Amino acid sequence: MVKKSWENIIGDPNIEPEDSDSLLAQTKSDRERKRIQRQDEIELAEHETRKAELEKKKVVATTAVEKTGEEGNTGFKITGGVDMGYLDLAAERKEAHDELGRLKQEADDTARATGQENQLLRDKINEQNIKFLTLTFQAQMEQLTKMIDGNASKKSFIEQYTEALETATALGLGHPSAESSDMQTTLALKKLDFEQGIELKRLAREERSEGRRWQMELRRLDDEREVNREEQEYRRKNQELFASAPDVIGRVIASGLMQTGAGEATGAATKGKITHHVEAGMGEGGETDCPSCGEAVAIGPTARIAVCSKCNTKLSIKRVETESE
Amino acid sequence: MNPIKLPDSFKKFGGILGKGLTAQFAQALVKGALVELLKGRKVDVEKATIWIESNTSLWDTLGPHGQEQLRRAAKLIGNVEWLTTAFVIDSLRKELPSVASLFLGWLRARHWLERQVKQIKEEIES
Repeated sequence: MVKKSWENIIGDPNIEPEDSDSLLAQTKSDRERKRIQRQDEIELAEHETRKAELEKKKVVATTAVEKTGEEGNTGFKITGGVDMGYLDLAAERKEAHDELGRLKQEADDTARATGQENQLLRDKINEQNIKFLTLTFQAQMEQLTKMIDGNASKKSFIEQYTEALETATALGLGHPSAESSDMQTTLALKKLDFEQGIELKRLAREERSEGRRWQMELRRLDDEREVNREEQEYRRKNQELFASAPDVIGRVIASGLMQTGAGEATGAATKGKITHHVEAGMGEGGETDCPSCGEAVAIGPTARIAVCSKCNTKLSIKRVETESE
Repeated sequence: MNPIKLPDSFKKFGGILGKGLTAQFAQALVKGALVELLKGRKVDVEKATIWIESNTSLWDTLGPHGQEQLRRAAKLIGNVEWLTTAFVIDSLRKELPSVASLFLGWLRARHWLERQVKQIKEEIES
């Protein structure tokens, strides 16, 4: 048997008390146990009461539902229908398409009409401008003609400018005078002066840049001219070289022929008149000096004559017996 | 054998001269080469006399390398009909006058030179 929680707290009630303290403790324990039992009974009763109330409420609610006939077969049935008519989607689409085309056509017509109107207005403006320019030009030409006729061109530019400025001021087109200008106008004039200064500086800068570019172009042209001149010089030298080639070749050939002729003359020289004599031993060779030019002349061991290679002087060799022989 | 050096004045015609024209200059070239060859070998009257008396072949003294170089030079030059005894003597006249004088006055020396020229021409044309 499983003990309840309160039985664990108060202990076993059937044990024998040994003394008064134990008895007292037991009594307290019994009293406590009874109190707890009563509490349990109360709680159980309350629980049962709540359960009964809930059952009662449930029965009442079920009864109410049955009365409304919304749950289960109540015995009533509603029948009938609604005619939605005939829906032609293709026709609807075609109609929408036609409507769209019509709207587009209207928009195009409107745009075309507006464009034509704009063009007409633009033409009118251009025409007016041309007329204005023509009239202005004619007026200026007439004024110039009058100035020339009236020798009015002696006026300086400044004077003419001043006059034009005064006229424009009188017509309400010129610069407002300094007296009547307010601060805003002064600022605008200052701004114009500043912009004019910037523009002048820009022009000066462009002018310098243009000058440098021009200098570079001149330098490039000078270089090209120098290159062309050197090329022409090179071609001229080449032409001279080729022109002189036959001359040089001819001179070399002539030199060769002359030298060959000299060789042939060499053979003839050996047949010339012998004017000098020299003595040499039998079978003796060597060298001696030419009596004419002093050049070394060779004597062969068995030679009978010797010939100077420089002046072709011939030496007769007289062989004599030496003492050793 | 020393390599043949073209004079600077000839170099500018290198591109325009053909083989035939080069042959016209070849005499001057060979003349210089011959003088340099003999000078390099320190040829004088005594040495030439020894060569003549012993009938030494100049072609053989060149050796295989020199012979090959001479053949190649001859191919570049082309026609060598102008290579004669008189041409050799004229070539030596200025630089080696005593040796030239030997060939002029000594008949045996001239005959030896003729044989050498003939042999060299035959070898380089072969």
